[in-house]
Parts: sequence; structure tokens; C-alpha cells
Amino acid sequence: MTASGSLAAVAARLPRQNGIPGAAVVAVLVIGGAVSGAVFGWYVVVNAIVTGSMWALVALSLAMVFGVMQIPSFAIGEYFMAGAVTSYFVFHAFSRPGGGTALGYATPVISIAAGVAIGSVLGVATDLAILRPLRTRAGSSWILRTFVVTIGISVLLQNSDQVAVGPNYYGVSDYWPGGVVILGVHIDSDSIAATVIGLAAIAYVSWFLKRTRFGLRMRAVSDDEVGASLQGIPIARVHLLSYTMSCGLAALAGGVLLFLFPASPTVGTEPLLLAWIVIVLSGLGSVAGASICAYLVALLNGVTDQVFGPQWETLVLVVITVAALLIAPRGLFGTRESGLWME
Amino acid sequence: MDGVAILGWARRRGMLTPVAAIVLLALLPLIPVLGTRGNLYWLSGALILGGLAIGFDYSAGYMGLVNFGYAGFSGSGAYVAGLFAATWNMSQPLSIIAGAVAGGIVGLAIGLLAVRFRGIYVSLVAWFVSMGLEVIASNLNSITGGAVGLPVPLLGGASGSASQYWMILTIVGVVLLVLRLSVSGKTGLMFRAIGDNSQAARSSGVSPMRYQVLNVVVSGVVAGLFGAIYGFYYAVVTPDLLDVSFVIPILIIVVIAGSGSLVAALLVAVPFGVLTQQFGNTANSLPGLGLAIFAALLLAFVVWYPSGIRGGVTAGWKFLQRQLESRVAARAGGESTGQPGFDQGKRPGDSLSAVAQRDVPEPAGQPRLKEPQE
Repeated sequence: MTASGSLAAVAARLPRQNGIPGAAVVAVLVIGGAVSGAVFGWYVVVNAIVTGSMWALVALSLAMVFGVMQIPSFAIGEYFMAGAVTSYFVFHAFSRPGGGTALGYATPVISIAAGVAIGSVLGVATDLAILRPLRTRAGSSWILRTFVVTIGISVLLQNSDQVAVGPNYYGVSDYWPGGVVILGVHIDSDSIAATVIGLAAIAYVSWFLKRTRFGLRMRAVSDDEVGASLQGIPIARVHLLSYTMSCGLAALAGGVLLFLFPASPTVGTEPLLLAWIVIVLSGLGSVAGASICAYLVALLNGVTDQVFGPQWETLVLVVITVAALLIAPRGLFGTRESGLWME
Repeated sequence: MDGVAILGWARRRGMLTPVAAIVLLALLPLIPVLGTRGNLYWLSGALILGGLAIGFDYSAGYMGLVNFGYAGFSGSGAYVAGLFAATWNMSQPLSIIAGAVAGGIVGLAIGLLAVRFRGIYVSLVAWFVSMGLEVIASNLNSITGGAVGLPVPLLGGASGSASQYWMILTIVGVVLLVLRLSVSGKTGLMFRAIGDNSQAARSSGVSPMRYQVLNVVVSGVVAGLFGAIYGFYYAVVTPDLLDVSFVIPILIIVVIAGSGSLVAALLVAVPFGVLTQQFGNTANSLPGLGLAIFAALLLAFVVWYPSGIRGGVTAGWKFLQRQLESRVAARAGGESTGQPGFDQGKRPGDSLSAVAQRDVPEPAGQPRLKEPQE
């Protein structure tokens, strides 16, 4: 697979934690992918790559608010939902029979961009209206209160969506028509687009955090908020930016995945759970680590589908995650001694 | 023991407010408007929700553990009780006890897992476990009836009667009094010490582990008990009982009520339960509107007034008390110097306000939910 080459390159630079070299995890992922591809058919691997890219985005979305702002967010899924719903309605408004024209190819891009925009706007509104006032009051109970607040945001957005557009499923069968055949597997254009968009977004987030001034500020705030503010970093603005980026990433995943996950008020439940599982497995502090764990989770889901059936996906994931939490509480790639982990 | 001594003991152990609340709730069916069959049905359902909220508040209000996997406790109780009654033909009381035990066992499992983590990870682990249980319940079709659910006998054979309401209230009342008693002494102090700052509590010689497990197990028993009653009350046990969405109303109740007193949670649960059930009935054209409104309320309370309705009542009560004391002092003039009356008023347990004060050690407006700090 094309992804494995770049993954191996990334793995060489992964931090070592809990005595497990990052390369070993990547090896497990690649070998697992190869074996399950040979046993169950390569479409399992293709699906894992497509959904894994998107779970990576959702996980990064969670990592951004959890790592930088210390918000254990349970509202990620609702920004995912906002992105999906917006993309559907924009796509529906623009799409005309006889795609294949220039407009036909551009419509999905416009739809997904609109989803990201709405998700980001919702993020800005949430931060300004709820999180910022809370920040000035919460003090030491910040984590617990934001936890409850994000649950409230989640319920509010879910039910507002239900009131506004109803409990129906809104999906698209194809963003882009057509596809290619690789290794005897038909891969449709949407899957390719989703993978490309996902990898590009992961690369962008990684570059943003490492190479830009805003990214540096975010990492500084994430490491030591008091120290960062003493250095003159505008904490409130950094928080606003991370929350907005987080919501934008979740909405991007929601918009892109519309062809697999039709928009409905509760469409965000699964991405939320998967984001948490990925972050618990990988630990905070490494974009590459979170992405690799996202692919691992996606592959595991695909294998569970084949062996036990799709209804057992969650159980298998949850058992493995709790076990992993007991064995490696800081996660496979966690670089930071987070105050949230063990005593 | 004479009456005065009992009253004094009740004051010291913080038993007066719960007793008052139970008496108040017991009188509700006597009000003609509420005493109709339909309204009694809503009220009893709301009481069960109140019982669930008490068990939730026992962890949230005293240990700072917002148990996102609470449905795992109550749902296990409902399923085990349902299996006992429907599949093995046990009597209902026995099945309900079995449900409580099941809730306690799940609580023990979560508690033993949870002592290895802290803060938000306890909630996460509990959430994961409840998700896993939900998957099992929805897919073991031959045992649990799958997604359709497990039909169970109706609670007490009928619903919507005053006697049923009082029966449920008796159970809720006993649980409330027992839990209040358990937190009014040393154990409650330990819970709070650990919830406030686990490190500091440990360095003062408290073993957080034992109390953490104890707290979660008790919460689990209460959840299992009322989960079982919930299942019998609605005559069906579905996997929804194990879902996170089952915890949301309970969480909203506890936050709006103000956590850490158990009584407030029960008193808010009753109108909340009736309202949401009515909303579900009448607002069919706009499902979700009710929950959206309550979620907005929850946000408003967490951000602007975290001590909840209870905090407001306590503050108002203190204000009245102060006004009254200053009036009395002004009327007494200089005579009161040297009298023991002033000191007596300040001694814990000698006045209702002292009971309230012990509930709220911090100044009003401070959060009750605490996160252990580094």
C-alpha cells in the first residue's frame, strides 16, 4: 500500500514510550493489514485506510482540545454532525443531474468546505459564549466542569439538529462518480478523495503545530499554561484558535465521510467513541502516533467485522482499550506526563 | 431516647432535610390535581428517576466522579432483575434485590479498575464498560431479547396507583436516609477529602483506594436497585437502559439541582421527570426540543451558577438567618454579652443553617464538583 511507505518513514522518528518502540506498532499495523488483506480480501484494508484517515482527523480534533485546553470533550461528534449536515444540504442544493461537468466535480469541494466553515463558526461561538466565561470562573474544577459542559453542548446540538432538520438520515451515494481498480479491488473515487484529504489534513496539522508561530504557541500553552502566559502568549486567543481548529477538523471528517455515514442527529456518537479510543490508545502529544492508532483502530474494526460481525465492533474495541489502558496507561505514543493520567 | 435527643441527633447527622423532603413527596398524591391515575403514573416514574439521581450524586457530589458509565450500573440491575423475574420466575422483590447486587458487582469491577486512574479517566473507563455491556445486551438475542428488549412483569402488577407511588417513595426514602447517614460522618468527610484533593488526603493518612471503591460500589447498588425498579415499572428492559443517553437526564438533574446533598437531586428529579415525560407525550411534532431546552439550562447552570438550585436555596436561607440574628441581637441590645447563646448558634449541628453550612464548606457560588489537582 502507498501509505505504508510514508508510515515507515514517520515511524523512525516516533518517540519511544512504555518500552514499546513506535516502529513496532507500525510493524504490527503493516503486517496486520497485509495478513487481513490476504485472508479477508483487500477491500478490508482499503476501508481501514479510508475510515482510519477520518478517525485520525477526529482524534486530532479531540487531542487539540484535550491537549491544549484540557477539555475532555464529548461534543466532538456534534461538530462532525454539523459538518455532515451542512455538506449534505449544500451538496443537495448544488448537485444537478449530469455531473461530470466542472461544476459537478467542484460541488463536493464546496459542500465539504461549507461544512468545515459551519463547524468552525460553531466552534468560535461555543468558545466565546460558553468556554471563555467558564474559564474565568472555573479555577481548579475546570476539567470536570468542561466535561459536563461538553456533554451539555452535545445534547443541545444533537437535539437542536433534530428540531431543525428532523431525525432522518441524509446521505449521498457518490460525491464523485467512478473509481479505479487496484489489486483487483474496486476503489471508488470518494474513498480515494477521503484518504487524500485525510492525509493532507494530518500533514497540515503536523506542519502547523511544528512550524508555525500559532502552532508553537499552542504547544507552549499545552505544555505549561502559566509559563506560556508569562512569556506573553495570549492564552485566550490560543484557546479560541485550538477550539476552532478542533471543530473544523471534526466537521471536515463529517463532511468527507458523508458517503459512508449519512447525516443524522446521532451520527457523531461513533466518531466520538473512536476518537476517545484512539486518544486513549495513543496518548497525547504526537500527531503521527494518534494517526497510526487511528489506522490500527480502523483495521481492528474491519477485522472484527469479518470475524465476529459488525455488531461486535464496539465490544472488541472497548475490551482492548481498557486492557491497553491498564498495561500502558500513558498510551503507546504519549510523550507527556499528563496530570490526567495515573498518580 | 426522648424526642428532643432524637431531634438533636437527626440535626447533627443532617437528617432533617431528607425527612422533610420525603414527607413533602409523600403528600403529593393527596393533592387532587396530582392524585389522578395519569399524574400518579408520571410522578412514580419521576421518583424512580430521582432514586437514580441520588445514586449518581453519591459519586458526583461527594467524590467528584461524574460517572458517564452510570447506565452500565442501572442497566445491569434492570437486566439481571428482568432475567430473574421473567426467565426464572422469581418474585419481584427478590429480583430487585438481585438487580441491586448486580449493580454493585459492576460497580465493584469499575471501582477496582478506576482506582488505577483518576479524574476523567474513571468516567472514560466506566463509559467504555457500559458501551461494552450495551453491545452484549443488544446481541445476545436468545437471553436478553436483543434490541427489542426483554418483557418483564409490571411492577406490583399494576401502575398509576397511590399505593404504588408510596411504595416506591418508601424505597427511595430509605435509600436517601441510609446514604445521607453514611456521608454525614467520617466516611463522608473522607469522600470529600479524596474528591477535593486525593494527594493531600493520602498524605494525611487516608487510603483513597478503599473509599473510592466503596463509593462506586454503593452508587452501583443504588443504580442497580432503581434500574431494576425502572425496568419493572415500564414492563420492558431494553439496551437503551445501558446507553449513555440514559445518563444524560440524570446528569442534567444533578447539575441543575446542585450536587452534594442527594436531597436536592431528588427534589429536582420529580418535576424534571414529570416535565420530560409530558414533553415526550405532547411535543411529538418537535422531539428533542425538551432535551435541547434542558441542555441549555444545564450549560447556564454549569457556567454561571455551579452550585445549582440548592446553592441558591442555601444562600437565601443563610441570608434570612443572618437578618433574623441581627434583628434578635439588636432587640436584645447589650444584655446578650456573656451569654452562651451566640456560641451555641455557631456550634455545628445546633441549627438548621449549620446543617446547611456543613453541606457547603466553601462560599456560595463556588463549584461543588471538584477535580483532583496535581
